[in-house]
Amino acid sequence: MSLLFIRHPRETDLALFAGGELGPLSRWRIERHLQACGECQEAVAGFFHLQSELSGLADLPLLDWNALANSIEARVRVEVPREEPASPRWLHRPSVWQVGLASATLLCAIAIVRQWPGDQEDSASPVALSQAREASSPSTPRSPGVDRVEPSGAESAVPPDADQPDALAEAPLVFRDGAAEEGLNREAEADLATSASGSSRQQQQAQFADANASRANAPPSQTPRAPDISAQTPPGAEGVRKAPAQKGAEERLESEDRLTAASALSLGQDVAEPAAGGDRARGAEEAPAEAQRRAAGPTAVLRTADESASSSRADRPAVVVTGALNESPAPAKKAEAQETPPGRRVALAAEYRAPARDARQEAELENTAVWPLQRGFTMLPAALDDPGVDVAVAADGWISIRTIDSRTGTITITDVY
Amino acid sequence: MEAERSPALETRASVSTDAEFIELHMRRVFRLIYRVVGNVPDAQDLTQEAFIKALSRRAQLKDPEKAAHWLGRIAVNTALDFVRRHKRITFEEIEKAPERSSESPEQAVLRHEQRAYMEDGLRLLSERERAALILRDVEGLPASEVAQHLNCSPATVRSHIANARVKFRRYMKGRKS
Repeated sequence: MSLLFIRHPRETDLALFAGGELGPLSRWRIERHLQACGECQEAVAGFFHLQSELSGLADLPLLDWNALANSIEARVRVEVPREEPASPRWLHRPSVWQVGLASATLLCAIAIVRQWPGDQEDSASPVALSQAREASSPSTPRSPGVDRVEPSGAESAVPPDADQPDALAEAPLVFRDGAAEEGLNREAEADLATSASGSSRQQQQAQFADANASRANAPPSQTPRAPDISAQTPPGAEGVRKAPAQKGAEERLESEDRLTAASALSLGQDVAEPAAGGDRARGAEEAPAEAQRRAAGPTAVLRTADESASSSRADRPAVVVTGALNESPAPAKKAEAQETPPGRRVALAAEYRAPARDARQEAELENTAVWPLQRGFTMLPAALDDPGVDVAVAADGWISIRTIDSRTGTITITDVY
Repeated sequence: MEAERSPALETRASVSTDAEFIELHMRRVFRLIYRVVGNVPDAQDLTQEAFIKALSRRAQLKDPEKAAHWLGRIAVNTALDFVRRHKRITFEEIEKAPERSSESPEQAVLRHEQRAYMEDGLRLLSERERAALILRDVEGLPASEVAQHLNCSPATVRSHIANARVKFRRYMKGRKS
């Protein structure tokens, strides 16, 4: 009676039961069913027999396994490429995102360096900058590129370096020393600012070098006094250089490091803007002390133009800075300007190997009191014969030169690249 | 610290490693393929092809301990692709099977006939069903491993195995009747 209501399991379930692939619950149900169902028992027995027959197919034919292995190895050797020795991952070609990330990092680093506090003045608007400078030194108009602490009648006899084509060719230089130079440089700046925006720094430097060379023979007295460049230069024009705010010779003489560092930190742009003129009277008072300090400087990194010209090319360092410094009387200080000769020419040739120092420079640096200043600038106190010279050199090649004429007590700060 | 090996040594070591790898897995690979294709010449060619595929893609093998499973899957897929391409399965190597020393010539003939009949029955199955049945009932692999070789789920493999057994049992029943 009960068999009428028995529901037989599916044949596939019986097949899986015979093979042991069912789960415990299904297996229990089938086992329970098989106890009362002979038909299903027969089916399960047939599946067991089938499995035993299939296992008879497991016999392999007689084969020469060595020959088969050799033929497989031969084919594999021919068709499978050999694995290349592992090369360093950094030798692989960088992907696009890696290049982009590196570029972004570099740009950020450049932006951070340019926005350093020492250059904050550079980022200010020219008009505000000019006003700030005038506020700091209201009585003395700015002299472009030259901090004239003590104007005097002395005149440097060192000729300009125009007769050194190699030096000029190697390091085109912008000297913001005098009015004539400033005028020429400002013209070049204006041309550059209004010309194609893609002009490179090298082109600008070449133009400025040409300007420097052309004005080398011009009499200083004939060069007109140009107004402050900071008020005329377009705000967006790069390459306009603004010197640090001049707080007076007294402060500079009190803190030589700070002064030179400020001068050096103002480097980093293309064209030197005239620094605020110092208080000449105070500068005159402090000049002897400064000269004494300069006389104590151990070694000289700067050379005169003659020395530089006489040096061979092999001895010539990577960067040769040369140019002429012109001074002309400031219009607002007529009384003092009368004491100053109409023109004073100072020629300097500075040599500096920015990328790597050779043994000689290392020795010089060891014998020289080197103050590692912040932001990667290094100040090299150098004594160049009579006038004391300070050179603050930036890692990117910018050099700030401060010369002190021991005879006149004039401190000249020049920023060159 | 281990010294860096020269390229020549690297190549030699690679060749040696390849030879060891082939020798270690060749019989098993050949057997898997032979069960699917049913004849020695095709099985030999496909065994070579399977090893070439495996050694060309050896970088894909993350865990060396799973090399046997990985290679078995390549072998079965190679054999299945071959059967699918050629739409044929040839069991013609019965006479090459080793003779059992204990059986009489009559028994050997009967066994050969039985084998031929079974191999004919295997042709009635689909490729997947045949492969699943052979790997499970002939090679004795567990259902989960068969699923790995066939690159499908265990439930699908169980379905293939059950259907193949049912079909094959009906086929064998017809012969007896």
